[in-house]
Amino acid sequence: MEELISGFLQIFNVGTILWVALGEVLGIVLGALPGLTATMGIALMVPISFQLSKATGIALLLGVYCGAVSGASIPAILLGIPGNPNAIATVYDGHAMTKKGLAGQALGGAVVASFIGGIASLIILVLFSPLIAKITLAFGPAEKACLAMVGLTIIASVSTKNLAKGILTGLLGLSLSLLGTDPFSNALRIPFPDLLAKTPLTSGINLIPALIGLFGISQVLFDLERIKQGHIAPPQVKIDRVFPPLKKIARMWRIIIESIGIGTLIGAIPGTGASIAVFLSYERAKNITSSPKWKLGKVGSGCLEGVIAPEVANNAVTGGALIPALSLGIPGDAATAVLLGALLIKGVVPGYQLFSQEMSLVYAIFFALFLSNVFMFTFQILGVRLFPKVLAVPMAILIPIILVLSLIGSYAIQGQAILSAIFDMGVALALGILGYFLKKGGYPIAPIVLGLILGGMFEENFRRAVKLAGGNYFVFFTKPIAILFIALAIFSVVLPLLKKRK
Amino acid sequence: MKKTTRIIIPIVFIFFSLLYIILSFSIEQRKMIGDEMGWDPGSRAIPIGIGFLMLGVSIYLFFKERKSGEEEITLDPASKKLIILTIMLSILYILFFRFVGFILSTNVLLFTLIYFYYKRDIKWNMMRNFSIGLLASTGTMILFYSIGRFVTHFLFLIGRRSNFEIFSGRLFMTGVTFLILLFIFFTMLLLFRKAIKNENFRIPLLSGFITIGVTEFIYIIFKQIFWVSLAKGLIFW
Repeated sequence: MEELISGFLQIFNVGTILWVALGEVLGIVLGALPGLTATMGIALMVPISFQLSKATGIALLLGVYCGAVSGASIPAILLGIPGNPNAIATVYDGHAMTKKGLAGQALGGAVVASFIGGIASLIILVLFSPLIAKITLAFGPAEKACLAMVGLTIIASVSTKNLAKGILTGLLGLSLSLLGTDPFSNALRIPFPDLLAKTPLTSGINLIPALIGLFGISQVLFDLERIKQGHIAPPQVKIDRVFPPLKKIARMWRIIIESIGIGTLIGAIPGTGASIAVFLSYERAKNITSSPKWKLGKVGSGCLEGVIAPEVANNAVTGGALIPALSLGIPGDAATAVLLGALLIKGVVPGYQLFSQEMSLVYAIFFALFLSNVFMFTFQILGVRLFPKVLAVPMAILIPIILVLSLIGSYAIQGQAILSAIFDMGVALALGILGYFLKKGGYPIAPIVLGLILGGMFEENFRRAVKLAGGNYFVFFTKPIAILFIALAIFSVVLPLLKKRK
Repeated sequence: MKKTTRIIIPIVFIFFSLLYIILSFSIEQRKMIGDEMGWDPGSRAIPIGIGFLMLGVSIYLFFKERKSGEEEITLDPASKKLIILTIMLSILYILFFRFVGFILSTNVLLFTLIYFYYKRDIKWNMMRNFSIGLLASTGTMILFYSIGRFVTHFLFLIGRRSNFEIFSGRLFMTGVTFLILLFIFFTMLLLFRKAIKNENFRIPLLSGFITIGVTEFIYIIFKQIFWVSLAKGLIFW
């Protein structure tokens, strides 16, 4: 009880509430701007969260996360362009509703759906994450090493159509995570150690500059290719009735429940993310509405049902993706990978330790997610006529601002030690350029981040397991949970290959 | 061999993997502290393993991409110029950040990028207006920074020498400085509003105003609120 109250107080104080509100507005704005992703928004805010207390910093990032996921529906509905991949399926019926003069209802429906999805997945997160975390008690070094391997292989296999590209970028992340100093023997693991022994490289690659570079700077360079299009003309649509009829929403109960299930489940599978969940829920809604017994508008014809289903699902992903992140330390999607990175930097170790020793922080995270959803609902409803104007902000202004924020954000992490801080800016820029070229070639970025996050966990536990087994490398095949993880890893690699053959 | 830009990335990865393997072999092989029996695989085992795996996958992708019928990686020339400009300026920004300082280097980076992004191209005949705009923006930025510093110092001294300690409080000083600079900023914006509507002055003026606003805002957030040590460089006061 004490921990619950402490968690409550960590979030419900003036300072934190203001930071969450700020994060929410920023998230909605970033989500609404086509091309700018939730992951990028979170990555840009990590340096600011770094300066705040643990709970406030995480709450700020959760605010950005929820805002960006739901804000993406604004351009999807008004312009037919999704703000980010989370709103791909909202385009079909949402934009068709705008053309019918029902933009207000579509926007309002999307907000209500986002709120339902967000809160429902939060409840599931609260119920399940402590249980899953308890299971981790049975994990020794061998199981933990295999768990890290599963996280990497799943994200590599689902984040791109080309499995080899996913694996290669995952390995790149792993290789970069090993730079610096060996955690057990302090042996230097840097190129040209005689020359670079006194440089910041000995501490390895910092996670925050890497995240900012991979998601912020690479996106900046990617968006530059669109600058020729100029800025998008603000949509000239009349927004009158915003709240959709509640009776109509109530009739959609089956679509809503299924979308919550799909969103939370897909979110909880590492590497999958909202873009898969929204399509699945959209297809399910299509099936349901094709039957006349439900007396619902047919999805695909420009009706509210086609907006509600994907919007419930994409916000349900937010809670779902946090389940493996908090309980196992394996992020559900790229955005939670950044959130997880921010947690690790703050010294928070996910898993049973977090749930047993820092339960007040866990409660604070739950309260923060609740508050983020409430703010998302309030701000989107209040600003339904205002946020569409954000679409008129020219990319010529946005891109340089994001670039400078990325560079200074990377600098600020070690802002008291100028040389290390400048080195971090260099890391962010180098990885940003690398990320840009990889994206151009169809290589996914998320596995690099996973490699960077899980590299340490994999190596430490792999070596510990082999040492404890007396130098036996087959120790991983002697423990049932480890075997299960190895099977899962093989399955995640083989399944896409089998699908391709078919 | 089919010529395709898609093989460039696997080739780079092959070279990177080879270099990684060579460097991994050169790591001093140390065992875990307390590992008397020598059962720990050692400090270079995992890097070597990952290096070889990376090499294998890169070689596989090299052959796969050679046969791939996917579209080539291309860039349109105007975007290419802007991307090169962005990368070059960012590198210079990082290299000179410490010596030139946050205010001046950020001012140059932001103004240059916003100006050319608005123009959507880089041509020699744009340089005259660009140079004048950059000088004006830099001068105004220094003025803004100096006013901000003066206000902060002034409040700090009042707080120290009087009983009103609140004046030297971090948030109070920052808030007052921010409000004063915001007032000056919007007054200037009002004064120049007709000039901004003029096609000839529009882009340099807009670039300048946005640059000054954003640079000062970042300075206030990171330096004055979070006490990040942003390099002073040439502006030593």
